[in-house]
Amino acid sequence: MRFIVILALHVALFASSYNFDEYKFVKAVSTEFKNSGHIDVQKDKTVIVYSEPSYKKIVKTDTNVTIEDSSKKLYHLKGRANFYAKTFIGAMTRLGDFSKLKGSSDFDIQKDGNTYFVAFKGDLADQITKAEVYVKDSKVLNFKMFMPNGDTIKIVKK
Amino acid sequence: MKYLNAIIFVFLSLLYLALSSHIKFSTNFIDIFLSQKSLKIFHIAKEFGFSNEILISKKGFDKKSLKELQEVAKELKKIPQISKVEISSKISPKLRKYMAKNYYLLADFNDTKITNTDIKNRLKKIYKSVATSVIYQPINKYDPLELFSMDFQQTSKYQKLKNYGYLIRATTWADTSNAQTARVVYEDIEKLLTKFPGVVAISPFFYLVENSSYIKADAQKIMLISTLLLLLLYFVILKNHKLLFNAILAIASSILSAIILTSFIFDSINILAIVFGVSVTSISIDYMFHYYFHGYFSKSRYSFQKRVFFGFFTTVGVFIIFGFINIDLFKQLAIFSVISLSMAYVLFSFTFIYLDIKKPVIVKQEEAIRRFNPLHVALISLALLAYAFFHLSFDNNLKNLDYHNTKLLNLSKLFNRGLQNNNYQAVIIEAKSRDKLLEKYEKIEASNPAMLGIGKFVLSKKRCEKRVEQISKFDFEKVKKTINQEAKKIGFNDVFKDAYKGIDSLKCKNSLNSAMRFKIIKDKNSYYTLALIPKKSIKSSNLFSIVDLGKSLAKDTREMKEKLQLYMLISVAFIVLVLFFNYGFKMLFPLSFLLFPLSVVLFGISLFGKINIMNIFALVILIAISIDYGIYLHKTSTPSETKMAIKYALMSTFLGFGVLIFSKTVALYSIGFVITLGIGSIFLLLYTSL
Repeated sequence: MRFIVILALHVALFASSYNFDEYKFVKAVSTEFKNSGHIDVQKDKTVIVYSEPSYKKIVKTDTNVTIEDSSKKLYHLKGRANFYAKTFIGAMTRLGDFSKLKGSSDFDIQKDGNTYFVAFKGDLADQITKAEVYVKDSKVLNFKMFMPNGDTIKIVKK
Repeated sequence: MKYLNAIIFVFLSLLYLALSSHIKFSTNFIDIFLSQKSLKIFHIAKEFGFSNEILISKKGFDKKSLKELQEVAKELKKIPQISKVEISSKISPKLRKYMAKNYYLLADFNDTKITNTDIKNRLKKIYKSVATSVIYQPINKYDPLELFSMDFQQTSKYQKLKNYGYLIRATTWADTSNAQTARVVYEDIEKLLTKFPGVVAISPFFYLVENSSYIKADAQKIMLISTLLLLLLYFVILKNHKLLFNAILAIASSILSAIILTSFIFDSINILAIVFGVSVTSISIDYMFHYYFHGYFSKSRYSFQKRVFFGFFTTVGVFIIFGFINIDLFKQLAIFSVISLSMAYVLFSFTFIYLDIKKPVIVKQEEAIRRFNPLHVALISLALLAYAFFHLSFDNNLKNLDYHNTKLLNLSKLFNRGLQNNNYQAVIIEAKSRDKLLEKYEKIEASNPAMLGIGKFVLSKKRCEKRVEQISKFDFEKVKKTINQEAKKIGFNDVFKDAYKGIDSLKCKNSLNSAMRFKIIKDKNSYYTLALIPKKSIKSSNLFSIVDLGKSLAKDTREMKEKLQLYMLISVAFIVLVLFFNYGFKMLFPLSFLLFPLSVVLFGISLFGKINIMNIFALVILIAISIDYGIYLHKTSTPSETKMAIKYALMSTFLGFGVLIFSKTVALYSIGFVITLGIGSIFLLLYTSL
């Protein structure tokens, strides 16, 4: 019994999961693309399952990122793809959790009403210049990341 | 004249003080064992600063470990001797700017002919990827056709030790080959790391600091035991303070004269040559004991002692032979020993007669004389030598002589595994000009494509011009036009307007950048660079020199052993010749005192392990001293006095040299082992010879 309580506490402390809609605006084609999925942040890995427009399961650990498609074929990301995947999943994990917003050395934060304006610093700023996080009752409702090339990605929790 | 010995000492001390600014000592131990060729390679490798790198890590890839290491990095920057601290694996902005500027020259270029259809298909693929990919990746607007590629991708934000944890690379500007300077940096880092439990650090100079401290403590302990036992021998057993005082002065004078004269021959005297030279000088105590027990330290009883002179002549003869060896340490030691032993002989023979020291009372032995059969001893010795010849192997790994620092050895293993250091071999490339050096690098790279080095950042003029020509043949004007036309048709806006910008006006002007990990240095009239070649593909070549301290030391030690063997054989031949001229075919008895200890020692080493360079060094000393006792004993008319003199001389030598057998440092133990076994076998002969 005690084991189950500890396990439950552990899961509550280290895991967070939610369904989301992702709006990706690509400036090069002036088009916004929509995906829907579910993110599950665990202690040692993050799992994102996209259900729309097609099934894709992404698993990010400390060192690797893998993608599984509907045919259950597994791809290990390498080089540039691996680097960007890790950067953006890492950012999604942090921006989506209100408790992780404060006290980070990777960005500065300014608050205006319910919106938190995040300015990335150091290495991260080369990939994501800034973000806007909309928070209500200490819970993140949605956030938008701005890239140096004018692209944006908005995540809306469902 | 009574104070002649003291006056000589005072004179030499004053002379030493007057010349002290001219006398230079060297503490660089690595120079002793490496050949000139190896020394040059390591001098250059040192210039690249690889030995000044400190690696720091903590187990785990969790945020807590990373934060702790970031704190360590912050604190490290506060240490004045630390010049660089890196925890991020990000390329510096300076280098990034340089790489971006020279991208078209440095990246691999796929110049396969490309058609309009190929361009169209490629752009369609990009569009599809943008629309369907769940992993966001910005469009490569500068090289949409991916004609250029560079294996230079960052996979992690932070440096990592594989399967262990995050990593800090710190560099010190301090001279870490100097034990004192290295200790300052070492202590600062140790002090800092005590605040961060679980954080581990390693650097090549840590061995120097930790091992030298251990060896120093070990040597101090041995010296204390040696001094106490020698004082016991002289004060309690001999009970002659005047003799002790004057013997110390005579030995000190011999050492001073050797230092002064050796300094005129060599630019600097290695401290190891002095330490061993001082020990060799203490052997001269033989002469003193022989004179003392025969009562010759009185003007009225003095007569020229042919045996003592003969013993001195053979010992000095051996060191004169070693004076011709082209190994600096042995050359210095041999010359030092020749001077100090000669001075000691002169002092004990000609100044001590004015001291008027009385002959000690010696109880004459009543028992019947038993004399060993030299032929039996020779046969036993030959049997032992034969066994040793077939079973003895040489240990050329100098690291085995050092203190076995388990803590640092385990840490080195951990870091080497994590960095996969063992997969690459460092090599030095040398050329007469910077461009020739780059050309040489490119030639080596052709057969070792995975090679890492300066050639990844800078091209030779020839190669650069070839690349510019290759690019100019590829019609980029037309390609750019097609990309922009087709991109618009597919649905892109003007995102590719800067594609392949500036590619038509490339110039071969890429220069060295301080942010590059690899460098080119100039030393005298040559240019050098250090490169890393995967061990799997490396083949020995005259285009580069391999930087491997262990292998170089092993090779040089093997060569040193061969030279020492040759000189030892010449020395033995010299002794046999001298004995033959003096004793004819009756030389077998004195020769037993050389042959027997030598064979016992070699047999002993072959039983307990491998012979090392320090064993060989001690064997040279053993050869030089053991023959003296055979000469003193041969047909002696005063057996009790001679035996007593040899007994005290042997005890003295054991207390000076043999006590090293109690050392935990293999180098010192190896000397102690040879001398103790040698002295033991001489004692055995001594007690069966009279």
